[in-house]
Amino acid sequence: MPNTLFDPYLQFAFFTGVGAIALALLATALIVYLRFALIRRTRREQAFLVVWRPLLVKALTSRLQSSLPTLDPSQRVFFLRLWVQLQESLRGLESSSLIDVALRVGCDKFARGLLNEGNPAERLLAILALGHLGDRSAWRLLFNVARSKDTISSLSAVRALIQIDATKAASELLPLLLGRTDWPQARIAAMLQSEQASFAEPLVNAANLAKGEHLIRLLRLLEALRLQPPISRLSILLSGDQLPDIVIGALRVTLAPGLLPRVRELAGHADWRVRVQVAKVLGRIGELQDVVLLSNLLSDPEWWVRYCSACALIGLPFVSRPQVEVLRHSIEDPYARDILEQVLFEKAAA
Amino acid sequence: MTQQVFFEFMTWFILTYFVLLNGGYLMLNFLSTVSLYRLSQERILDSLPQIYSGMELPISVLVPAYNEEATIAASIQSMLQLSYPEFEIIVINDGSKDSTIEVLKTEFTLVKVPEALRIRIATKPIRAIYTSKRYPNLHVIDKENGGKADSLNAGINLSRYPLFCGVDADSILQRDSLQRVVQPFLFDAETVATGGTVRLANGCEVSGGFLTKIGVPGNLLALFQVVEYLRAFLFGRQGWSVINAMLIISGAFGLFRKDIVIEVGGYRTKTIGEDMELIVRMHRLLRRQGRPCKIKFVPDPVCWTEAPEDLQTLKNQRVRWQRGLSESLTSNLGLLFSRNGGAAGWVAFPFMLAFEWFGPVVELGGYFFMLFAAFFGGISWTAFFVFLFLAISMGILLSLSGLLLEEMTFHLYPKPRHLAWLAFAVIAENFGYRQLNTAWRLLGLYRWLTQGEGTWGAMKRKGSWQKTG
Repeated sequence: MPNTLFDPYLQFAFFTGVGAIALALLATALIVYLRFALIRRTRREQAFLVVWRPLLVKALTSRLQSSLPTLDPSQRVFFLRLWVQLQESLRGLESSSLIDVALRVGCDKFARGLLNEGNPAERLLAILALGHLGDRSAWRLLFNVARSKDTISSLSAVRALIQIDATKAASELLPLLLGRTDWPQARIAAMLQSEQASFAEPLVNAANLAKGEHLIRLLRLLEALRLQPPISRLSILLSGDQLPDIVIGALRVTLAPGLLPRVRELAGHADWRVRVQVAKVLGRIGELQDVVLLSNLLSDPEWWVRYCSACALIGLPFVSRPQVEVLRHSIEDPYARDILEQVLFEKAAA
Repeated sequence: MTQQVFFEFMTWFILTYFVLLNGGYLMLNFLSTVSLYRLSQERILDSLPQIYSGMELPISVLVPAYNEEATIAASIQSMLQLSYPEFEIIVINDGSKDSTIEVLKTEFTLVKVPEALRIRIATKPIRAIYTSKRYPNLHVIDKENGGKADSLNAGINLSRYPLFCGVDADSILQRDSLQRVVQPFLFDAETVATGGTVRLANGCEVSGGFLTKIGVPGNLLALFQVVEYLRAFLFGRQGWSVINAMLIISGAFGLFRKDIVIEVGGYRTKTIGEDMELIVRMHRLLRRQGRPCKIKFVPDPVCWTEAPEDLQTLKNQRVRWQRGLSESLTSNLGLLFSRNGGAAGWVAFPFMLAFEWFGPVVELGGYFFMLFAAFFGGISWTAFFVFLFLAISMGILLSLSGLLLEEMTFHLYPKPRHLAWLAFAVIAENFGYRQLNTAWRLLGLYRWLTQGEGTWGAMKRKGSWQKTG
């Protein structure tokens, strides 16, 4: 065992300990600095909000005629944050007088500046602001961000581009929208729902060409926007030789009774998820002859198929509750009986 | 000569162990600092209103309850107010001996349903299934006692949604907790589980089932645990998550892909560390098949729980944790250095095994060695004090970095005196508390070796923060 402070290993241990204490002191200083910085920033933001919040809230409903207070460069990020928050609270209904205020303080210019030179948080704010402002001159900048690898900023840039020019975005961004698997479909659907008119045609047309993963994502988007691909294309997608996920996607958007023969053929599909969707389609658009098919699906080995078939059967407009009760008593399969009983109870309780 | 060789060997063994342990922690610290900085920049979007598309993944919240008659109604009321577009709550009454089920029936107007239950994971017999007439998304399972894991498995069987979230009945959730922990599932389809930061509610105020005021506990034991939790979550789990090697998601709040959990067999009932065991098993089985197994950590505070404030309860907890760790690791040894093990099998598992599991033995061995060396005159008191100084300074540095990460990201503790009090705990915990913990962990190891199947036993909770609610 090393035994004197002159031993190099002991010296190393000692100075490592001293280093650790020095780092701990540095961390303490950093904590204190961060806290003071936070307090200072909060005070500055409070002072900013006292002046600007009433003005911007007023601008939500009416145009501000009077001259605006000077916006200090150090207040620009506060302004962007408040302004973006108010815009977002409008949920898609842009306020022209709010935009007017932003333009009067030069928000478009400093947002573009922050997009180029700000830190990641400032860049995000700038992207959102430029989208709400509908700043066409930022199109190229935002388009480059939309193609960047960073998921959050690229997704925010896509939203901004859609807000600026939905039609142009539909033609330029569709490959990205279908190809970027790191962009959550729920978010994309939420963005497109407000601009459905611009995206409907390109999306429906894309269904004729898209394949594989792109097609699966596209079908989900079509479903979210309550759109349908052309019936001829759907008919192809509903054939048994397609990938199960494609068949599932196609079934989810099937609303045309003309496709029922195709749908019925899929009732015996090997993948239970397909059979679930078949039951759901039959529940939406099924005909009297489908009662037998749905009754058979009540005995499916998979619980979800039985459950969805029961829901579909009970929901058919031409099947009354007494008829379902008769069916339940005539069925020999206890699983089918149980699921019918459960769904009947759920419907009664709802 | 032999004695000299022994002293040399032990000295170098303990030194190497110490360097690897602290080097590992410093590396985790570095990883989490970088990733938390990045996340803190994106937090600017959190304050904006959420827009839902109807395509969000619905979630089943599973709440096992055993003898929770006093708090269950308030807990469920607050969970019903979670902000998420589509979720169901399934309370599993695990054969409570008190009137938990009666309270639930009365408070939520439960009606018995003829549920055609799918048994995908075997559980203890189900007595009845109920649905609330007032809240259609609230369901209750009344079953025979089988433990927390068995209850969660029963909840999985009844759940309708592709994701499930296991929650302790006494946990206090953030209103947006589901919205936050689901994010990794939305951005990456290969995600199979996520967990969030669990914070301690001691010293805080709760009203209507939600946290209304954040504070730090006056009780010293609870205060030390606040520092421990900051360290464990903000740089421990966050660091492991960066390299996809997180081996534990707290049972108090975790979100899982249901099909994967069913595929690996659900929660193991014969363990007291069912939360960690499931995660390690998921890593082992999915990685063995070469399938993606992304388990992610969301650093946002999503759940608050009460820490023990007396030595006996804390001791019981730590003994249980060590037994749970032992069971989780030893029942999944196949992950260790496995071919497709990745960072989980090649870094996190050996690290856990060497430092978290075996650590108390080495530490105790170190003390015995010092006694032995002192007896035979082989000890250098200079060296002893230098290494003691090094150990304490590293301990302070690592705990302080947890506090720094908190201040960098969430700065939840509003008053400067809270920070000062926590900084005091960072130093004070090194003098007694940590050593006590080591002793309890060692006891946990001993009990794991000598005793059979463990049980959770009773957890003494004060719930003083709920008085205001």
